[in-house]
Amino acid sequence: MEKKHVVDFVVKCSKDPKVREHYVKDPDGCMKKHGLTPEDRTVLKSGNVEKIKKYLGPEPPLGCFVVVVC
Amino acid sequence: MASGSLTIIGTGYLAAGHLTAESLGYAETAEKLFLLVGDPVTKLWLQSLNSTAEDLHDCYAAGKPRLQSYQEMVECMLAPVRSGQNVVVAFYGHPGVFVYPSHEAIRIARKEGFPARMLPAISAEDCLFADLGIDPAAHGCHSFEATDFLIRKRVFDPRSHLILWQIGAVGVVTYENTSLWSRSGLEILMEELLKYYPGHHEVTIYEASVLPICEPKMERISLEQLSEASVSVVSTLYVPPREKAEPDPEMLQRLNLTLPESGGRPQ
Repeated sequence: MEKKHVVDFVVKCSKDPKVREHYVKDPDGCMKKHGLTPEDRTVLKSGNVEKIKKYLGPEPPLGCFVVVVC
Repeated sequence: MASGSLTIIGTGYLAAGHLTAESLGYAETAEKLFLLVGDPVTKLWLQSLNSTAEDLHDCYAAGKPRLQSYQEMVECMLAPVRSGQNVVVAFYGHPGVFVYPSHEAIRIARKEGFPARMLPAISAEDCLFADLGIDPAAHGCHSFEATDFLIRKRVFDPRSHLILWQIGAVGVVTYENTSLWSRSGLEILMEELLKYYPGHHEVTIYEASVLPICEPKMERISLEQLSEASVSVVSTLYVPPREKAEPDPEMLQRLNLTLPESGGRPQ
């Protein structure tokens, strides 16, 4: 999978508070340390959830989890 | 007892960060893992944990009735159970909150004699309590799906916390390929709420964070701005109490309770 290194980095941020803290303080330094490319870094630094999700792979349509109640 | 089994787990919201240790064990050791999650990170992470992982999203299709998709999911989940496999299904958030196929699959599996259970997980409401710093024990808390709240004229106490789900899909029963499904529905919701709260009452449009590198959405606006606000189908509306509820003196007396001089909890 082409973006596996980015997915692995995001998972590390979820599971390791030190990695997340490093990212908050120095996003570029942290991402460089984990092997992310300039393109990866630009997308992740945008903080735009939809943009990041699209970059990482196909995603379900936004409304597929809406529950119809009537 | 038949040999197959069904266990439903929830991945919470934060990719790879909200799955409980108990659920993780089930996901890793399942003979067959199905998943229906909301972001590519969680999907790829679960696939790396268990090579049998299969996405249920293919059951959705444009123009297909939602109930038909749910029924197909239930059949997908149950087929390997009937073949004797220990099946685990991972849903986004809490698997029992705003999820129809999970409850239905458990009901049918049990009816057919298979062991079936649901494990608790982190729901969007749990994220909201943490991110907005709300304790439902203080003031009490009402939680309604927004369309249900309107069409059934749900009775609530405006002195309690009020949480309304799916505010971007009010009155819509079809699938729409847009971020906000109904601006007019949102306007009707605002009009109804204005019967109970002043226009300047501060409310919050909330969306839990799914990625650790992104912040949750917490947009604070006055209620009268709601119909023009930036809202999507995954947005939730939090309405804080309008005022504090005063204790009933008669009930205090019956329970032999007194209020401290400074107010606060009865003693």
